[in-house]
Formats: sequence, C-alpha cells, structure tokens
Amino acid sequence: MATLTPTTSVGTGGSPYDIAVIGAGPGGYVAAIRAAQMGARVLVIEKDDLGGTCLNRGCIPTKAFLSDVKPLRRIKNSPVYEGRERLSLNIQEMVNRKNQLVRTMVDGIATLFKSNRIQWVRGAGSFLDSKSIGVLRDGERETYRAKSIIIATGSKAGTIPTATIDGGKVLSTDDILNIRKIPRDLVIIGGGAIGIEFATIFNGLGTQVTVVEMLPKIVATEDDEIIRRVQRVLEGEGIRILTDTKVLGASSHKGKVRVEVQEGSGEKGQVTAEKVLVATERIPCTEGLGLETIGLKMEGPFIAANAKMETSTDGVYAVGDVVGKMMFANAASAEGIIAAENIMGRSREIDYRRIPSCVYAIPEIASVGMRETDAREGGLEIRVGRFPYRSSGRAVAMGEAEGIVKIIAEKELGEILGVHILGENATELIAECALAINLEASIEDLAEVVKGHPTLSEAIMEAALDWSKASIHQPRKK
Amino acid sequence: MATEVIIPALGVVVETVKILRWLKSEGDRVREGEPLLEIESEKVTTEITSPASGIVGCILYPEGSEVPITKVAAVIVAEGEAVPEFYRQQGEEAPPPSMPTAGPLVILTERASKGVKAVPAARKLAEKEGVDLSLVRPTGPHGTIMKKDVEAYLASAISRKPLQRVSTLARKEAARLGVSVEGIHGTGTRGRVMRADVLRAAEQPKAIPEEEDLFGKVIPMNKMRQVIGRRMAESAFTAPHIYLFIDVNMERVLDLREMILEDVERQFKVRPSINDFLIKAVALTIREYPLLNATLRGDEIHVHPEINVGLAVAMDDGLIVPAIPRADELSLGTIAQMRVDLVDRARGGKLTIEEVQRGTFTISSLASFDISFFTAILNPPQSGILTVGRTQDQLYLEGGQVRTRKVANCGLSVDHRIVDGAVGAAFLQSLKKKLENPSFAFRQL
Repeated sequence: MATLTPTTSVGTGGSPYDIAVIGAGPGGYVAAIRAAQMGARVLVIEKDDLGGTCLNRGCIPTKAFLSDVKPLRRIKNSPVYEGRERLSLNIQEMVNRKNQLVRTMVDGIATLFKSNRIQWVRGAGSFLDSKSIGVLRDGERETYRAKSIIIATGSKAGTIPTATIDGGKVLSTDDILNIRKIPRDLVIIGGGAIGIEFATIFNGLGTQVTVVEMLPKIVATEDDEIIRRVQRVLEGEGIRILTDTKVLGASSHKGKVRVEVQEGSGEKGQVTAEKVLVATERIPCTEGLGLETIGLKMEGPFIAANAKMETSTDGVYAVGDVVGKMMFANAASAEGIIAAENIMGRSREIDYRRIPSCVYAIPEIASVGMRETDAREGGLEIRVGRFPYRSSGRAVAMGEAEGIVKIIAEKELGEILGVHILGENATELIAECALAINLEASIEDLAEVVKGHPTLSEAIMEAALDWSKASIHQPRKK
Repeated sequence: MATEVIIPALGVVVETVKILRWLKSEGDRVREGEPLLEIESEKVTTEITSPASGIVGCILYPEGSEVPITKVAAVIVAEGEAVPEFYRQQGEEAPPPSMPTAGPLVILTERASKGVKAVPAARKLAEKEGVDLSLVRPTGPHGTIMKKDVEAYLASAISRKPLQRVSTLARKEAARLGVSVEGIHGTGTRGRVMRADVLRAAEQPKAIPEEEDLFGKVIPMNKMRQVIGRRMAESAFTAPHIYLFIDVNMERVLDLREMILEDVERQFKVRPSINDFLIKAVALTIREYPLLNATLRGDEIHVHPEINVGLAVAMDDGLIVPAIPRADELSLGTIAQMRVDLVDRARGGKLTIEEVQRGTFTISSLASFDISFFTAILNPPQSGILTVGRTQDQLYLEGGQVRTRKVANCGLSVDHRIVDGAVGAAFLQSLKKKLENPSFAFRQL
C-alpha cells in the first residue's frame, strides 16, 4: 500500500488526482490500470482486499472449487477408472487451495498497480462533493481530490426476508466459500447463474442439492431452448430444481433447516437440509457512498449510467455491478476500460450485445448477443443454425456429448445476432463468436473457418453451416 | 494563336468531370479531331478530341483531377508558339489529383511507361489491366517487357490482395444500399470500415435541411442547378414554344399490351410498359413529320438522319435523358429491353455520353405523379418534346348510353421557328391514330 499522510487534501503537493476509482474489483482495478496506461495519475480506494468479489468471493474461488470437483465427477462416471468408488474430496484442502490462489492473485493486482504507479488506499470512500472523496481509515477521515471519479463499488451477496442469513445454517455465498464440512444436503435459494454454479459444485461434492427459484425458469437471462436443456441435464445429474416456487420461511428443525416453500399453484411444501444457501440477486453497493450529496440519478437500486458510463453528474462515472446492466466481471472490466478511455479523451460506448455471459455449471452455458425470442419479438427475419455436441467427434470422445451450439443470424445480411452454447468448454468457445460479432463477420465467415480436428470448436463451424442447411455432420435437411 | 481545350458540359446534371487519362503529353503534335483526353463524370465516360491542330502546349490538370465543366484543361499552340503565362497560373490552382485509394489498379501515366521497352502485346495488356509498366520485371531481350511478364506481374499483384479494410457486414450493407465503401471514413480498428460507417455515409446525402429551415434562407445554386437553369432559360427565351394538347383513347393500346405481355416477356425477358408503345409510336410518327426531328443552326434547319427518342428520367439530383437510337426501326421488345437498361444505368450514373447526346426528340411522362397534362420546355437543341399525362376514366355517350373510356392527354411543345402549329397538330393527330389503332401501327412487334 502506498504511504499517505492524512491531510485534508491529498495528492502530491496538494494537486488533485486525474482519476479516483472507488472499488478495486474487476471494474475498478481494470479502469485504473487502463487510465494509468494512458498517462493518468490514478488513486484507487478499496475498503477490502484488491480484486473485489470476483477475485475474493466470486468468479475465481468458485472456479477453483469447480476444477476440483470436475475430475472427480468424470472419474466417478467412467468405468475405466478402477477403485474410483473410494475417491472423495477434502473440502478443507479445497478451501485452503482456494485461499492461497486468491492471495497470490490479490498480490498480483498490487504488483500491477505498482508497475502502473497507481496509488491505493484501504478504506470506505464517500463523496464530499463531485470532485472530492472522504476516506475513513482507522477512525480518521482523509480527503482526496480528483478531476474525475469512477464508482466501481460492485455488489454484495443477495438476501431474502424469509430466510435470514446467520452464517451457521443459512449461508450467504461469501460464507459457503469457507465451509469446513461437505453438507449432506443443501437448499439453494435462487436459480440464477450463481445458484446454478453452487448447485453444480455441491452436487459434485456428493451433496443432495435442491434449487428453489421464484421465476418459472432457472438462468432466466439465457435462451429458452438452452434453459430447457440445461435444466434437464442438471436434473439428470441429481439436482432437484423447483421453479416458480417461493420461499415462505426457514426454521431450525432437529439440527437442520426446514425451508417452507410455495409453488405457483399455491401448493405448499417443505424441504429440509443441513444448510441453506441464499443465492438471490446481488445488491448494488451504494450505501455510505454519499451519492445524495452529489445528487446522482439512480435507476432503482442501481446508479444510472449511459453507454459512455457517464452518470448524471459531470466527471463522475460508474461501472460494474453498481450499474447493474450486466452483472458479470467481464462486463464490469469492459465498462471500466470504456470509462477510463472516455475520461482520457476518447469517445467510446459500451455495446452489451457484444459481451458474452458465462455460467459455469456442468455443462457450461455461454452466450453472446440476442436470444431467439428477443430477435423474433424484435421483428427480425432470422434463421437458426444448430449443432449438437452428440454429433461432435471430440465431444463424444471426451465423454461430454451433452450440449448444443445455436447460432441466430439475420436472413438477408447473415448478421450474427446471437450465439448460445451449452456444453463442455462453452465459456471458451463463445470467444470466437464474440470476436466474429465484434468484427462484424457474417455467418458465412464463421462457417468458412477451418478448425483443428477433432475439436469442440468444429461445432461452431457446423452450426454456422447448418444455418445454410450445409452442416456436414448432420442429416441432410429438406 | 493558342486554342483552349475546354471541358464540355456533359448533359444537364454534370458539375465536374474527372480526367481519366491524357492521350497526349505536353509537346506532342495533335491534329484537330484527334482524341486528346478521356474524362469521366458521374453519368458518363467519354473522349474529348482536340479542337485544333498543333502542339499540346500545356496540360493544366493532371490525371485523376476533378475539373469543373467549362474550365480550360489544356492549351494547343502552333509550332514554336509559347503558351501564354496566364494559363500556367490557372493550372497551379488546380486541386490535387484524387488518387485511387484501393485495389491493385495503377493508372498508367505517360511518365511511368515512357522509357520502358515493351512489346506491343505487353503494352496492350498493361493498358487494359491498368498496370504501371515500370513496375514489371522484363525477361525479354535488352530488358524488353514481354506479355508474359505483365501476366506474371498481374498474378503476383492479385495474390497480394490488400488487407480487408471493410467488415463483411459493412460490405453487404453497402451493397444493399447501393453505396460505395470507397472513401467512407472507417471507425473500426485501424480505420476498418464498419457497418455503422456505411449507414452514416448512406444517410448523409439524404440529410436535406428541414423544410422550415429553408424559409428566410438563401440557398446558393450548385453547378448542376446553374446549368439546368441556364439551359432551360435559354430554351424558353430563344425558342418560341407552341403547346398543343390532344386526348388519346388508350383502351386499345392497353388491351394490346395485356395481350402480348406474356409473349414479349418470354421472348425478351422484359416487361413492356406503355412508355415503350409511346416511344415506338412517336418514332413512327416522326418518320412522317421529319421537322420534329430537327435542329436550328443559324438560318438552316438540320434534319437528323436518325430518329433517336429520348426518355426523361428523373433522378435525386436532377434529370437525364438517355435516348433509344433508331427507335422507328426497332421492335417493341427491343425498345423495352433498351429502355429498362438505359433507365437502370441512368439511375446508377453509368450512361455513356453517346447515349445522352444522341437524342433527337424527347418524351416526358408525369403520369406516375397523377398529372393530367402539362407543358414542357424543349430540350435544346431539339425541336419537339412530347408530354404524357395520366390515363383516366372519361365519360362519353354511345348510342344514348353513358359509358367510360380510358383517356390520356398528350401534349406537344415545338420550336415555332422550325415547326408551325398545323404541323405539330398533324403530328399529334397521327400519333393519336396510331395509339388508338395499335394493331395496325404495331403490326411489326
């Protein structure tokens, strides 16, 4: 951490920073680095460890767990491994490994800050006016001035009034990452991306998982066809999924938690489990920021920002979950870069249709652009190309034949409007499609790319060919 | 005495032309009537011949320049005569040539090809493909470029296809909107032209100021409007116009069109319109009244040897009148084919000067605007122009019964210096007869 003297106005010689960033998550730290690269003097204010939710309590920790769980699942499902029944996972070692790699990566961000001459202070920042931020450190308040400010305070774990998080039996997503014992059964409230990821992890650990989702479908932001398929697969893996179901209450019952639920039909029921995980929609962190002092316009609980990531107050930008347009780390980073570049004199706008969304279940879900229903409801003339993993030599050889690539393109120009992938490595495969959309390739361009064989990426080429009824490895269409 | 080579006005709508190529260099001897340079406008490409015999004294605009019409492009001087200093200064003001921006095409310049030894076949190919011979590696004796050397160069130049600087969607969008991606400012990485850039470029010319903005404003006339204005005023104020109108019963010709539609379509792959019947009928009527195919030159009436009927084509930025040559001799299907092609190319700005200049009579129809009848100003130096109004139902009495028939009003404007009222009226009457008895008039389809 940079050494700083608590004065009323900090900055070398009292001159203000070019940019102050509140929050060092994937939105904030990326914006800080980009701005520093472009020559700005940057200050970062973070009340916790660098890296934000993504690195400390989100993306990276869950991926560490998934990577532990995945080989075991594969081995257990394959008769080629002898003695596989005896294998099990040590959750404490998993948590240790996770903590260690997180620490390494947090240090990595500090190193990046240093090499970019970015100063950072630990403390909770709050606006004094639109150009100065007070930071509470050890009971003392320091004031920092900056010409532009980026709010990147992110979001915190969701709650639900009918099931109070106690850290013991009813857990937040933060709590469960440091769990010491694999629960025998687990109720996950919330079937969004986060809930489904944890469901996958704990199902892999041998826990009986029940997902309770209030909406009629899980991962509701994805394409309907993909949702139907993934639900079927997850259920096949032994995960119980209750959609269109509300949680009425949670209470202790014989050392377990009993969760009272009510289906859309009105029918009530209960699920009893050792632990309950609350994985409902995350809450933007705006409390204590002093947004009212600068009169920032809000959009519900989120900060209102335009495509340039400008807020209603001149010189104040907001990026990431606190804006809530697309609550993914990759979106936050993209927004952070755009905010930084706009401050530094470029003119850039975010286009969410070019940002992929990734759900790390088994199988993975990844998508970019429009859903089929969006395109049809928008009155676009479209055609859809599909290719099932079952027809991919590589997928079958891997024992991962569950999945599909679905590409939606406009009929006349062949504009790629959306790509939806369910299956092994979907989150990596989507990158090619995001590139194609970014370069304004047509679906024919995507079909013409020659792939290595056998690879999963051939499925994208085949789905693009299928769009023109020319898929090689699918039965001919009339 | 020095003779100026002036860039001519190419039809009504042309403001500037591009000099494609000088066929002579400074110091070259030239004969009167010999091709001197090639020019291209939005509408046409043509050669300009030397107005005098002598020496090319100076060339004022290099190849690739955009030159406003009526400007002096070169000066022809007599042997030994100096070029007046005045012209040189004018040339210095010339705008820099707009160089070709994309593609392997290199305009062959005199300087580049001079001093290069090449066999005629190689030169011919190089010229056809636009290859700069100085860039070709010779393999012939004494460093002579052979035809195969040019071919080898072309093969290599083509294999070095330039980096794709236009996104696929931008290219497709441009094709759909019929705009050229050349010259569009690209906002993608490394100046790549993206779809939004094409859409923006396509919108720009349409960005006409809001109507209310024009009130109280002064609008400067662009070259095109000035030219239209000058020519129309000249025609209206020098040629004394007479206007004659006649009603034509269109029922039979409409029926005939219906009857032969399928056959013509099958044979000529084109749908004949009523305009095609008009063109043919007018051409046949002109045969009977040659003065409607004439031009006044001093005190002489020059009757053109061919009957070339022009059709006024409205465009976004004015109008143009491509003509169908010898329309009197052509079958209806051929006329339809030519009309479709000419109108298409007129809208695409791809007519040749010949196609625009050969007209000896003009037909102008505003039927599609629901105009019943109108007068037209002669398209100089022609002596007649036929106007065509919409076809509408008209009541008439037949054996005491009220009936309807389909009638179109045709108007004729003639230059009274050449054509008297009675001649014009007789022309219209004969035309009416043909259209009302089409099976006889169009017996040779």
